Amino acid sequence: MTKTFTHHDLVQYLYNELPKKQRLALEEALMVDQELAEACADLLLTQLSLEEALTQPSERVTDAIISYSKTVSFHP
Amino acid sequence: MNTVQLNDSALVTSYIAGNESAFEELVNRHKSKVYTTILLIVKDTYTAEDLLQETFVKAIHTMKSGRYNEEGKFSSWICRIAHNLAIDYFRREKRSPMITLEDGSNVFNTLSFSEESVESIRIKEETHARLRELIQQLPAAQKEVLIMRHYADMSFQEIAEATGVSINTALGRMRYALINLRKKMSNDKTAYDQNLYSS
Repeated sequence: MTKTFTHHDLVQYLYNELPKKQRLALEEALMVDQELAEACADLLLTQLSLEEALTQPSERVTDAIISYSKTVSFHP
Repeated sequence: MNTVQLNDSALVTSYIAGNESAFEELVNRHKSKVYTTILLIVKDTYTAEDLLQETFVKAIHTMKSGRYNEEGKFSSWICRIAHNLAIDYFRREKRSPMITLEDGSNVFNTLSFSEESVESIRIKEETHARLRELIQQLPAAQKEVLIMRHYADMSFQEIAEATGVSINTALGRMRYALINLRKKMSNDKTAYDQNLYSS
């Protein structure tokens, strides 16, 4: 029996939140369902683009954080 | 000890045991996502850097005082601290983090791209800044879920609980956020896909 997948399933798949059994079934469905594969590809491309928005703090701030850690002693 | 090969959980354990280089690796591993999470909420680099320091100071105190809870991922935990601090900042300022639109402030990316010209670095950064602007233009609920899931690394279940909606609503908002962002990118002049596949 072929399981029907929803757009919500695709979003969960994208973020590795589908249970293994469902994930494998979805990957099988992606091989034969052109419409589903296209919807998945669109979401995946946008998700990849989001990595492009990542930016870095200045080294000054990073160094300050690391230096601060060294000044804090343990209080178990 | 080669900290680069350790997973986050092992790094936390090593740090609590007194290994400062383990903490340095944790900072380098997560600073970008944590900083971006904050920046997308507060929209100001100086405030974002202050809150980034505050986030890690809180994390340092929690871990060194033995109060760190091993449940869940370190990345989710640190990003959640950052997210909460950014939201608290807006409450203190009596401003809404989700209503104002980005005014185009340019964030300079300190990543060093080897063998790239100053010009190509500038173009790349402008493209990335433009993408952050497009994210700011999403409807508030969609933007909130996108930041929480993609940058703050919260699960859809955690997002549903934090925002008081069902998991299906959170999933729906995320889906529309991605679809709307794709449309905005297609309508935008900047060639995102070229950047995606550039080395």
